[in-house]
Amino acid sequence: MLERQKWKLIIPFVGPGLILYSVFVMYPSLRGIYVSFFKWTGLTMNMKFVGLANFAKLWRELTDPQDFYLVRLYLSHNVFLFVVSLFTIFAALVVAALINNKPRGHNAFRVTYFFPNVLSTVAIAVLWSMILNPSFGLLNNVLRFIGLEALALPWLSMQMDAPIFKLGLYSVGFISLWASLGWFMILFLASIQNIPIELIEAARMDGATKTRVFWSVTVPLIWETVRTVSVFAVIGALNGFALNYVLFERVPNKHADLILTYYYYQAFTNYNWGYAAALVVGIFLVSLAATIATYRFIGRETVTY
Amino acid sequence: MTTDNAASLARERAARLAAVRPPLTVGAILGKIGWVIAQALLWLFFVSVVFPMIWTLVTSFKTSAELYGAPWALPAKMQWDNYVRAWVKVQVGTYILNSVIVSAASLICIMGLGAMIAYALARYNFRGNRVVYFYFIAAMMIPGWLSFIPAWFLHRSIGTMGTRAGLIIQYTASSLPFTVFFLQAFFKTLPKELEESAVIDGASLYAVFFRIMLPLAQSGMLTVSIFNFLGVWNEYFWALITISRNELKTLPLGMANLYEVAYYVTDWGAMFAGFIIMLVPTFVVYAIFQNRLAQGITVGALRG
Repeated sequence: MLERQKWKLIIPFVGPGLILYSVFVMYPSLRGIYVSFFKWTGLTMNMKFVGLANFAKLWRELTDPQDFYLVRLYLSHNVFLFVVSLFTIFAALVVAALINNKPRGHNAFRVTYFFPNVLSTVAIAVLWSMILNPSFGLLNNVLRFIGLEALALPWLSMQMDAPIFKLGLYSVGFISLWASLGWFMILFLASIQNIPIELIEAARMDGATKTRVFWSVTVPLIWETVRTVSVFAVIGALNGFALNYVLFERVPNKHADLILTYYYYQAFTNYNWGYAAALVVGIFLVSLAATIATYRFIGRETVTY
Repeated sequence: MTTDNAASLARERAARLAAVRPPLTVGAILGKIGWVIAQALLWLFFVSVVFPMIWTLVTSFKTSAELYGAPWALPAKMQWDNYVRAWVKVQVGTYILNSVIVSAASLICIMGLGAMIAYALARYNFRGNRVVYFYFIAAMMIPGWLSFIPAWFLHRSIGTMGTRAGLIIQYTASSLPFTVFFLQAFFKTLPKELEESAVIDGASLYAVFFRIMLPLAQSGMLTVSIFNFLGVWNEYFWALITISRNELKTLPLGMANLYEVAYYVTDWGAMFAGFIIMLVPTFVVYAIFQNRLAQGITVGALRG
């Protein structure tokens, strides 16, 4: 093919998309990093270069032993969500193994479990705020129906200052589990079904129980997927925002809010755009580090077959 | 290995598999109990997804008094008026229309631009091919949060702030990385012979793409389209920070709105009805494409 003729296709095919992507995705992303080195209210064009001051402030708020800054509190909520997602991974593994045995109704399980993943976060938040409504909500009605009247709590709005008793946050954790279990399960199920049946049969013939085979043969063979899903879990736990924002009716809630809620209020309420940008750069760096660490930390030799 | 040999091996294997059936020990009994508990949990989770949906649907036909007073009763009289109020007063129809316009336009742009880029990258060897490819993929690692604020100012300065065009442009640009990533790999799996023979027959390079490659790539295009559709249809944050006029709001904004409006005027009937109407499109897409979605997710996440 002639060199010149080739470019006649490449330029019109790649060009428009490349420009659009550069202008509306790449430029703003790099600009976001740039802004994090400035003090800027966003209201005027007046930006003051402050070097690493925004990052220093972020670091101080995270590490200062005296004051209890909101960043640290909110970040601890993200950590809680991460722990929940580790449990979700474990539960999804077990569910995938169970469904792989094709119990009665396994197709119905597969289809329904995955359904929450196609709902928007807003739909999930609205649905659950109806379910958890203290007076007419489905959950409290069920609890009253089976005689557990005392447990019919205001799941989202109950606020106690004991640091351990954060009902709103626990509700967010459960909803996250509900929403992501099906996704993880589908990924695990697909990898389990890729394992050659001979390997499982061989272990069974050697007298291992099904449970034993699962943990000693199946899980090591799908370890790659476990790792990928763990990365999703880290990124998911750091990026929570919309669920909280809608669930708590756009009101700051220091018992359940997340790091990105803090970003939102810094940017859109306090007009602290430079600091907000630094916060996001921080989140980006942490998720990058966590991704690398996940590959290192659970980088057990991948078993090939 | 002879077939005879293989058959006897298979028989032997079956016999050994049968022989390891465990005797009824304490462990076996515990295993049985565990199986029952596991089954119960599977059903419990199943109910936690299905039951709220049924409850929402049933409640959408009730009056507010019934919602509080008779939570377990079926509606005494079907309150179709709830749906009328949701449509007229909360303007659910407007939100759906906006979402349909924005999603359709974005999808056409994403798939058109994405397929052309992916095809050029998959089929043409040119200087900088890899660089351009990785440049496109890079944004899959960068969180959108980084670009939202600068993009907000950018749209304000070019006048697309708070318009449908602003949404469509931003959705198209930010969906390109995944689309290019997925389709480039897909085009590479397609056979080259058809293209080559078409070129020999004198077809232009563009005709090869539009007449031969695009129809061949239908399956991959459909999978990516479903993902992009769900992504755009469900997008919340960008719409939240740019769209302020009610008549331009998309579904996720409308849904959050619906919830707030219902809260202040305590019109729960309209709220439940509006919620159901807004879920119908998602239900339909899920019902039709459920299998393809599950496959696509696996390919996207695991081979990637």
